[in-house]
Amino acid sequence: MEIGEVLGNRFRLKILKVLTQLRELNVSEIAGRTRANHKTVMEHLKILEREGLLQHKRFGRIHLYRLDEGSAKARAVKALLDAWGKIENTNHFT
Amino acid sequence: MAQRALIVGDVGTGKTALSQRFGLDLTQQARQRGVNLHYIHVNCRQYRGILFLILHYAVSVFHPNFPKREFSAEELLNIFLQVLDENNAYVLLSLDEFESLIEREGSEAVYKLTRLQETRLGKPQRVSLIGILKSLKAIEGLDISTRSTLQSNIIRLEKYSKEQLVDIVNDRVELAFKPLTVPEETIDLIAELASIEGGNARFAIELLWRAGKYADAEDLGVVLPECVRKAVSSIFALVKKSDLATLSLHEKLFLLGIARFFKENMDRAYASLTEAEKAYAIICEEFNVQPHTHTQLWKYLQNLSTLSIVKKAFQQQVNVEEQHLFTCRERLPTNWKENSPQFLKKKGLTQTVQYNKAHMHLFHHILQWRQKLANCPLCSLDLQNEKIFYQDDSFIVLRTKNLKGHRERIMIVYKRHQHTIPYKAYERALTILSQIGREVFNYAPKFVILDTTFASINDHWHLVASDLDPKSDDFDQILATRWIKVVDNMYADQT
Repeated sequence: MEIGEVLGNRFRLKILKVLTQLRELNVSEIAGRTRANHKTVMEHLKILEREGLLQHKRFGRIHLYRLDEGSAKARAVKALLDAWGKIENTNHFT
Repeated sequence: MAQRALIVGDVGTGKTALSQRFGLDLTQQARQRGVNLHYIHVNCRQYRGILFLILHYAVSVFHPNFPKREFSAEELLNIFLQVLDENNAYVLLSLDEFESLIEREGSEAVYKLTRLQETRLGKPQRVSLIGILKSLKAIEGLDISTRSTLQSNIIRLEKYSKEQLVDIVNDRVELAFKPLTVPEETIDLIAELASIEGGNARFAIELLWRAGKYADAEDLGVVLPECVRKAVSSIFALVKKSDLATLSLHEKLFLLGIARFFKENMDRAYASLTEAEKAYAIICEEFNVQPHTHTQLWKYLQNLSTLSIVKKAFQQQVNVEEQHLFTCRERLPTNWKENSPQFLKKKGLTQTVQYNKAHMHLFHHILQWRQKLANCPLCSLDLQNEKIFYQDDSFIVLRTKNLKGHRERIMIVYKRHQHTIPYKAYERALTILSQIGREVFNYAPKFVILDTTFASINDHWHLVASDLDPKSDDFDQILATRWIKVVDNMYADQT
């Protein structure tokens, strides 16, 4: 998938943002924080994982997702979102 | 190889400190040898003795956002081991206030924890345990097989002698105080008092800290024995404020009901749950809240018992001797269902609650607070007979009872009995008082809003505003008080 296609979806961006901030979350928690339903979130998580941005660990019925720290793409996205967050914070206080 | 050990000793004998020091040293040693070892210290009481919550805390060391729902304690235990395997990590799990876990979960939970390696034959033994408890009596209630897993390594810590306490206090003085500010007799008194309190070093250290604070507050330069005496009267050696803070409103109300029952029945060592429930119902009426159900109160009682604020006992008939009650308690199962009111009723038993005498002073303190609340002049203002200038949901502005020689003297009072109020409310109060003051003090060029330095009512938030009449009775006091705001009546917007 092209970068525009991967990051062009607002849910996928929300998921990446929330995982950049909180490092690791289970599916229900991601759904709650992105205000999307479970099925939608699962679909986007699979896409992001397939594209090498996320990885997950399974503990019984629980799946914990996080950015794939070993992936250059994930590190680039994290750097972008971190920088974007900092700019937003600066604007908020000025 | 995984190990299990128990550290046993009275309050303030250094059990927790010993475990933490050992954990720190062991972690450092492991790091030097390239072993990924974590020391996890959990206060079981803080987690109400619930195995699931204790394990969740341990898992969250590795996965901070691990969800709390969806698992049984057993599943979580397996997950914990899975996490350790994946991280190739070893854990020294220190369970402080181990009694809480035993009391709440019984043999089953302890057995699971101590035997968790046995189902993992051929795999690395990842978890070692330290149980920290006050007395070995707590483990006597466990079944034989569980007990046998715990009794191989027991470290007993004896109470500190007065001489040892002097050494401990001296050490802290050296660390925290300027030279020559804590005289020998002060240290001696602290050690003496802590020695009477069962050789409790924590008590000694807290006494020293508080005495230092009193000396600071009075600008003494030296911590006198008198400061220690003041500190003693303000310390509760056995009750932690944090324990009370964890209680819900209804748990507190229930506790207040129990306290009131024993206050009114000084000759009684025990109260039945029904009696406590009646007292609680009256408290609820006073606070204008709906009382919770009997089953809910039963749960509260379990929690208060876990926190050692009350002691539960079971008796065949009312008014049997205390010793007999404790014997009964030892023999009864600790399983919740078997201890439930229905079960007890079937067995012809009545549940009782004993007011822990060690906490008598705490309850008196709560009662005194309630008494204060009832006697607070700002809580019991007779508004019919007061000159009211302004009133809303939160504040009331009125003329002070004593004008102290001023033509006008007003105050703004928060409607609830609170010592402090949120900052935003404070700002709003200042605005209201300034606006009302402009009308009331229109005869004077300026008026001031004063700090409560000389206020006779310290525990109910209020602020006084006054004109600046040099002939008034309290003019010297006004000059000595910090002025929060000076309002100039000549300029509408300038203060």
